[in-house]
Amino acid sequence: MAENGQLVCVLAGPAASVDRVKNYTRGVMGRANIDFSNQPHGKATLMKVIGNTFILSMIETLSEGHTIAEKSGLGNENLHAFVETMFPGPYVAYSKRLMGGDYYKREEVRHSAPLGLGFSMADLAF
Amino acid sequence: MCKNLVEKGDLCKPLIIFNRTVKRAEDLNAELPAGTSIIAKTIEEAVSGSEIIFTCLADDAAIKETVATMMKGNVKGKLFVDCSTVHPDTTEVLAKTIMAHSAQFVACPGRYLEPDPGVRNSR
Repeated sequence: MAENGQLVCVLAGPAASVDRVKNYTRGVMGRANIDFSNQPHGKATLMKVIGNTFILSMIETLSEGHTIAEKSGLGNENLHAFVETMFPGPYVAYSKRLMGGDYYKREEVRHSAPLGLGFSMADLAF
Repeated sequence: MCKNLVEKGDLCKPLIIFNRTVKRAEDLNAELPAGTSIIAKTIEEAVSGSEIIFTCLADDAAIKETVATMMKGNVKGKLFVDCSTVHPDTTEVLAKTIMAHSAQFVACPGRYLEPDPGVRNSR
């Protein structure tokens, strides 16, 4: 993903081990840590997969919203102004990416992640 | 990740990089500042020369296979950090395997957050 982007890591495992990794995450590779020290390792990847559902919902919402904005005559720019004001943060970045045609202009598929955990689609590619 | 590691990670030795597709390791090595990274020809080479090993692979099968290979050498006391997004059950199995070889393991999946472009107009 974008080199400018900032990595948020979920860290799970024995605290002594997590502390060793933290030297290389926050402030180095990443922007922030979600610290699951002393919790079972699997909780980190479980968090990641559930977190992915939030990202998917967000992209779904933005996709539908921008489509309605186009078809209704509201316009994408107007919708984007609403997104910036009401949902600052990742929503703004993804809204911009959708409007800019980032997804269909890429050579390589941008997101492809196994969803697992009861989802009917094994992979979702954007 | 590698770029940030070599620039801000305060590493005392060059970062050892390995990719199953050699060209990707070569391209990355070329991008990084001279002398900050070296390419390992095999997984064994990468692991034996390191104290901390980060992995980031596409799927469960890949990380399982890689961990199996990594455990063949003497890994006592080494720290393995897996950043792959895989099934939680896989993570647990990997943890068990790695710790059974007297090594440490941290699950560290991540997501890139886009920098906020900022509000362009306020009305």
